[in-house]
Amino acid sequence: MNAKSLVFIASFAIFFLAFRVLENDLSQILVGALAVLVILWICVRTFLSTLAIAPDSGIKIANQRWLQFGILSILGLALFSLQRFFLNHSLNPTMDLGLKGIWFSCLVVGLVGTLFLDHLIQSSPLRLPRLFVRKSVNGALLLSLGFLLLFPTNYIVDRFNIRQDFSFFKTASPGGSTIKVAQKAQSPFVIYIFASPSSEVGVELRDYFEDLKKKAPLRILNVDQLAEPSLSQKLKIRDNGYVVISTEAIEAKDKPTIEDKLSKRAIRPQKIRIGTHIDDKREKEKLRNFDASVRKAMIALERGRLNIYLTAGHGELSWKGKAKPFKNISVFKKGLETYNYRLKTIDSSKGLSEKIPKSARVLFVLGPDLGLSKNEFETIKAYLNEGGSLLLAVEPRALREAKTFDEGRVDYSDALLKWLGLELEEGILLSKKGMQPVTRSAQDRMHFVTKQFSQHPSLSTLNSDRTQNYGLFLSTASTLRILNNEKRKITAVVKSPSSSWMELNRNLEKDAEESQRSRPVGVAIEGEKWRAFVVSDASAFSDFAMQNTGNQQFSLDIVNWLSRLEKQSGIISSQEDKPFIPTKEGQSLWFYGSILGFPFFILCVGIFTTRRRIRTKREEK
Amino acid sequence: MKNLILITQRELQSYFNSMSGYIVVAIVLGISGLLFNTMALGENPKLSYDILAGTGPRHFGFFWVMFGTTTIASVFLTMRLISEERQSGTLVLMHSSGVKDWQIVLGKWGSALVFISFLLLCSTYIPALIFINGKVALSHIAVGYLGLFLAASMSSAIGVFSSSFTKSQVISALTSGVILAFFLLSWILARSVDAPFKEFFSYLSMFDRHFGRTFAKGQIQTRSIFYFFSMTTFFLLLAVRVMQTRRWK
Repeated sequence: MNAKSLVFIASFAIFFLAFRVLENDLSQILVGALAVLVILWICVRTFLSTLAIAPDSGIKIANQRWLQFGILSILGLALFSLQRFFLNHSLNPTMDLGLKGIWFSCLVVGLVGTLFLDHLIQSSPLRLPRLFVRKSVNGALLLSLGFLLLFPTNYIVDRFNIRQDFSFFKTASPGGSTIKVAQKAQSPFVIYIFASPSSEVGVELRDYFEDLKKKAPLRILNVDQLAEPSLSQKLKIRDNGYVVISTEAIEAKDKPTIEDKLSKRAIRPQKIRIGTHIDDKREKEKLRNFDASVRKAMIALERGRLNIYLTAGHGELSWKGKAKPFKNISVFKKGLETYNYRLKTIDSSKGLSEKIPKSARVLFVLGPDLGLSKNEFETIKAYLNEGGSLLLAVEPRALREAKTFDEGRVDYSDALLKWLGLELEEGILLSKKGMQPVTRSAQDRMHFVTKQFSQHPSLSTLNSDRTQNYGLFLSTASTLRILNNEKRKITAVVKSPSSSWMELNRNLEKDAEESQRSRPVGVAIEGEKWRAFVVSDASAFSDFAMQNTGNQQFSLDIVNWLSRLEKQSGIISSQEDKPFIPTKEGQSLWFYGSILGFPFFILCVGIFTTRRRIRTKREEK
Repeated sequence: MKNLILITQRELQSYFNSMSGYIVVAIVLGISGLLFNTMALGENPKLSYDILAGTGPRHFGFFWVMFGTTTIASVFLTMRLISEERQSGTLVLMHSSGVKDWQIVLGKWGSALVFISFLLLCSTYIPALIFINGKVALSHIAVGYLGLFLAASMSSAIGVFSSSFTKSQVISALTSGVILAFFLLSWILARSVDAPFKEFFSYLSMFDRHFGRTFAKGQIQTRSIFYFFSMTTFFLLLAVRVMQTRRWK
């Protein structure tokens, strides 16, 4: 590119930059006018120099074409100025866009043309075949018009964009728990599916309920909201994309009776909103978890909502505030809600030291850091003796004692454990097998998965479906010692792996005095009227541990057992994505295999192929 | 057409008849595997969707890793294609034997694309882990690979264009890198300018708009397919034009 073309193009750039960068109107006009003067001066100079060249020569024609392209760019500049200074905001949007397109096209074609011809003249300054000039002009036009064509075509394609989602999607199928609820229902369920006949969401919903109908008595009614205005009005549905779950008993009555109103059961049909567009991300998510929504609605109609009280005020696990993943139980709470349980907190000010509310189906004591007071211990005892249920999850003594000591309080958690017929052993359980990489250090020996479950109604799902290969993730567990107590039926239902040992000296290594064997970590206790379940690792219920499906199923199983609803326990069917937990053993194999193994295999193939080729060539010679 | 096929075959032979092609594939797979294990899989539990389709800043997924390695590989694979011919003087021989510029450009680009496709095919074992253990669809993985193929097609076209106007392979690689960086980072430019340039630069964003939000997430969008197709065509056209203008000297 020679100096002339460089200055020519730079002047255009300065002209446009002046209007974007400079804020003062006067400076914009001054810089812009200066740039225009330079452009015009270059064109006039080229015109004059063209006059001096011999007629019909290639050089003269190239200069003439350069001048023509230059004038085209000036025309683009003039149209830009016209739009900017004289027609500003006075054109309708289509005209405005059209004018923008014209000046932009003039500029692109003009400047690309000048660049091409400048390059041509520079390549052969003395003698230039006419053919080259023609080719250069054609090339410039082809390229600039090709470039310009990119914009309208991409614009049109963008306007009429078609999107197809191929990511994972599957509507949840009826889970074991939903099937049990539907099978044991006092009155068969009636399902209204509000969807247009052509709706894809409707197809998914119908498939789900047809599956359920094969295993439990159901009546399914497909309704188009527009075609059935009176029914829609009766069920208070204003749009398609809803599922309404009712029972034959509700359908048979015009109005709920007083008995219905007094019962805990829902007295009106339950609505589930899904939506009508299957491509919508939220609606896909609802379909993936549809089974949980159906079960919740059915349980609401069947037995109503049950209250669970969680003790507070002792540093327990909680769903409130911004607790750490090891102390938060939001996932557990969400899981309980799908079984229509309501989680409430209770502390000393709300009656924990006096009386647990009668509505408490289960009482949770999840990992109290500070220990229980004597009054609280007595209240819990009284609650159990009246037929209550308790889920007690304790942290190992090594993690608890320091905090209790600091507070200067006496910890009655041990007294409660003893009353239940248990004792917490000293130390923390460690295992090298089934270890989970959490900190990537020796501390990970505290984080392991156990699959040692015994046959007991409290673990009905974990025991009934061994194909799922559930495991319980424990992060800081201790051992529960079972004391002799004839009044209680105590069963160790969850044990640590046989490779585990009780770490006593905190060196995180297995020493001679630390024996390896399976030890109780989850114990079910049945008294005369009451039930209790004790876990020696409170964090097994935390959000962090709940990433493991086994922990989710375990926690719901024991809550259903404590509520005496173990017959409703079953697999939760969900097509929701689950976290992928990398394991140290599996991952190291995969790590080296993918980084070294397969690339090495490719290299071997390369060596084999090239050597065979060389050998063949030699033989041919 | 015969010339075009001959050029493609010749280039492909240069990759597969020596160890160089296999070494390139092994290196790219090794790097992809390393990045997949350290960045996509990581040490903490992640949703399988994030491992596959994460595009940062919290999750860097498999397709994010593969997009980077594929585009970088295409720059290195294409940097020598025409500049080497020019440097060794064989380009003149090709011209004198009646081979057209467009045949050279298309043949070279085609060979690079076939080689990158082979590389992509070899990498399919990496997402197999997520497919087996997680909840991702095979169609999602296939769509992601389609996106990688289209991105490789565009970056190879840019590489061929850069290689067409210089004898130096280093300059060729640098030019490709700068052009690709512009297309990859134009979303940052889009943030700092006003309309209508905002939409313009946003639309040009190769990864952010046309890969990360579409193919990586298992979505096919006609605008993204057309974008890659039109950009590939434009850069190949540009390369042909550059080849022609070089012949005037």
